[in-house]
Amino acid sequence: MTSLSDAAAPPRFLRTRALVRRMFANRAFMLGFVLFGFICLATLLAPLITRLDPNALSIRDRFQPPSLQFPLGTDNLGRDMLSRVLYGARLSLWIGLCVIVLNAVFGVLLGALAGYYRRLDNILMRIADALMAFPAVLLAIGIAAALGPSAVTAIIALAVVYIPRTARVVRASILVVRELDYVQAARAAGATDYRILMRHILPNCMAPLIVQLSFVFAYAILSEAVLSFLGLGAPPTVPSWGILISEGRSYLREAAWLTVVPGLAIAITVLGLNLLGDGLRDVLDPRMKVEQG
Amino acid sequence: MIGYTISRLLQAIPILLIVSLIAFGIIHLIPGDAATVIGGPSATPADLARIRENLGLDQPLHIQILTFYANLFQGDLGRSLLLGIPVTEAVLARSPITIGIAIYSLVLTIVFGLATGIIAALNHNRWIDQAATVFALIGVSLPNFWLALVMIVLFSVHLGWLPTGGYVPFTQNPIGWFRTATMPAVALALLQAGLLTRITRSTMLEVLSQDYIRTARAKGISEWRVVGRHALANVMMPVVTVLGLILSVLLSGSIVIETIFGIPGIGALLGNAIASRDYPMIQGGLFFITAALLLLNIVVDVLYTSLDPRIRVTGGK
Amino acid sequence: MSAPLLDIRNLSIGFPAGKGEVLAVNDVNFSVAPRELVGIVGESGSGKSVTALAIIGLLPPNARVSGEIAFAGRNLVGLPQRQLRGLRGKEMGMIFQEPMTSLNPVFTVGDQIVEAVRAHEHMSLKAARDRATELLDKVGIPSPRRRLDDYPHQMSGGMRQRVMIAIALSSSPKLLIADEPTTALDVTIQAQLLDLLNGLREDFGTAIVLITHNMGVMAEIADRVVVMYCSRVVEEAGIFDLFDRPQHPYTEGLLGSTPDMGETAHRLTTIRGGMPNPADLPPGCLFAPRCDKAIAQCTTAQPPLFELGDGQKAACILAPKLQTEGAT
Repeated sequence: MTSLSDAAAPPRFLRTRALVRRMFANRAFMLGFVLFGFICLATLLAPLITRLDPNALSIRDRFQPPSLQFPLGTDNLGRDMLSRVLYGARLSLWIGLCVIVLNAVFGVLLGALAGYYRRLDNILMRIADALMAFPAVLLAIGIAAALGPSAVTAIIALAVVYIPRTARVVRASILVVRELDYVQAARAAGATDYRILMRHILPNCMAPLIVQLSFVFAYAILSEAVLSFLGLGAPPTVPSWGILISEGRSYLREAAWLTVVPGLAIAITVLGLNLLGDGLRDVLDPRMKVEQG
Repeated sequence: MIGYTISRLLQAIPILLIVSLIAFGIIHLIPGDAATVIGGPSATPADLARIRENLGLDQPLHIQILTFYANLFQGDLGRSLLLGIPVTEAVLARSPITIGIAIYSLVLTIVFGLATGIIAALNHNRWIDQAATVFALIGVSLPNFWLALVMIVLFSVHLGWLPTGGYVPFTQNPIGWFRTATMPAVALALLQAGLLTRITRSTMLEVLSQDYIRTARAKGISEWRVVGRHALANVMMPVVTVLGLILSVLLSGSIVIETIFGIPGIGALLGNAIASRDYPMIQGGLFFITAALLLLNIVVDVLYTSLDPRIRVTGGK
Repeated sequence: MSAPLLDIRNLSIGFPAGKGEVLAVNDVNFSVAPRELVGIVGESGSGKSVTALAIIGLLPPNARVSGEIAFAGRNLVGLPQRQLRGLRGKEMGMIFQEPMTSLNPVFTVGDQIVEAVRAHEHMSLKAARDRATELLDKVGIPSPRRRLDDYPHQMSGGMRQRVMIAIALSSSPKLLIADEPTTALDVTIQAQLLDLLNGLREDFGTAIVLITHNMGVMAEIADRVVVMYCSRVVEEAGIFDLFDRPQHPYTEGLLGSTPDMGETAHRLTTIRGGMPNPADLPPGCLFAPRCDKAIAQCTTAQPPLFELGDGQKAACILAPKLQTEGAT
């Protein structure tokens, strides 16, 4: 029995040093790592980078173009854009992080239920199909419009939109894994459903899941910006990148940087996450890869 | 073929039912009393009662659902609180504008995405391929409403080439239409063009390595013909399958883009509805767009089946 | 003997690998006379398919070719693609191993034959279709006119390979290159196709270069056989000489591992080991590590191709000795 479960143990590919080495040899992953790491670091170190309060008004300094004192300029109320973008990153990234955590938990749960229990599969997947029939951003807007503007609203709306997609990915890989010989062997040896799921199936679904989550993170940042832009995200006193763009929009003529800068921050973050996702897919899950550039 | 179409339509029915249920449920997601939220702080108790009555919120839930479906089957999606006209009427009146820009944007997406993807694949691993890959990646990473704003700064504010917004119907003045529709269409197209470039490139690379391409070359026909006929015909298949996704992203993008450019289409209609908490309009618009997309997806699938002889002859999956 | 139709001299083909270059074809020489059927035999990776692609000019662009491929007196090495294209499908045709994937799935077979017919000859669509019908008939497809409008997926593998042959023969080429044409098909269909190829040689006066790893196929239709091992020619001989008295131990091994060669049941022998890594070749004879007869001398220098009379050649230092011993 011991020997069987040892032989049937899933590959520990997520822990090996070779994997880490392959990841950092992957150009897309490296570039994504640098870009996203840069944004994360800047966000964490915001108080060290700028001493200015993102909400400190200074009417005398309004609409200052980028300068030494205000590296990214100031807005219509004289608030420092650098600190606003840096602190805004906290909210944007925090929302994205919450969305992918919810995605991981519920996506795996629902995907595993659907993939493992045939009877649940049909109904869960019909609901998923219906949720996915809505254009993603549109559904998020609809939900957020009902729940009222807040950061929690944005998180819930985006989670509802992307969980079915994650569940589908998990389900698909479970359907493949459950037919593999060693899983069949474990079942024949009398392992419980729970044990098979936790020990054999889930570890093998990690690769597509991680890849999926990195893309969901990217979509979440983009969609959150749309929600905030429409006034459905965090209330305006807390700057998120989407809100910063929305505020800057009124001053396109006199202070274009107010719009350009937060958009660039979003673009860099999303680009980094997309690259991370591409790289992770190449390294972790060669089956998903169409070709290597 | 007809059998396949019918079976696809039948499959869409349960999805449409759930979609409508979700759309219906949105108003019930409002925390607390929906009428208070809709009426705003200045609403009198009489106002609130009227709102409740108008929306049927004073009825028990099952009656509300039954009424909702009874109306739905008659094409009645409720009445807009803001405009005071039926939602269906408002949506249908605005849809030609959105459809026009969507088609323009779709054409840009397909032409640009296909061309870039194919050129990249034909120059695999050369600088032009890398440039196209980078372009596609940036394309899928930019927020489209931000791109719209940057374009306004560049082309309207600084260069003065195009108006910052507004809309001229095509039938009135085609040139005016192009002047007002181009920036919205480009802003909407960029993300999908990036997506399509990536898909086209990887499919093209795969197709180019197929045996039948070698066969075509062995015939001694020109490289143009090998790529333009033998490869392209096979690349088109997966491209057709992503059309549905492209349309979906396009329509959801139109809310923000139409709002920014002040284009009176469905997107701006929904944008206004959101701003003024016009829930019947939000629900109806959401359902209308999703239902239209489901139908479009069926059309795309049927188109796909009729394009691919392997599926066509055997009569569907 | 008439002047050769195809004369390959000192052909070497390299592909960049890492910092250096790996030779897929190394100093290969052989020739094909008009109407002759020459077989090239060897394991996968021996360089036989690369040689075939070089002849028809379909090598990937990163291949480096040196030597000479003289076709009807004209050297094809270094010829611009434009001129090679004029030869392809017109003077020479090619059929491939995988009939299931070698035809474009989205066009009818008629379409694909007509395209080949019209590639090199100005012809009305109607005339081209007539010619396509005729070709399908020649390759033994029943009710050809009707099958013209079939898609490849509606045909069996054997039928598709016949269509491939029809395409290759569309403008009566002087040379047909067949790369493992029957490997993917089952045995009865294999035999039918070989008969077909043999018959077409009479009808069209086409010379054929047949590439296979199957000695049985060679025995059936080849006039002469070139044995390749590890990018080099190790033996060349007329079909009877080759089977009666193979001179290279590798050929012997190949014959030993072919079933149904003799009437009596004998144990199939296999060649031990595998081909050496092309990036890390042993010194001396490349076959020595796997050879039962290897002597010390074998590992010092690569043996040249010894002429052994009757057009038989073998790259084994033991071959001339065996020859003289056999003669006395």
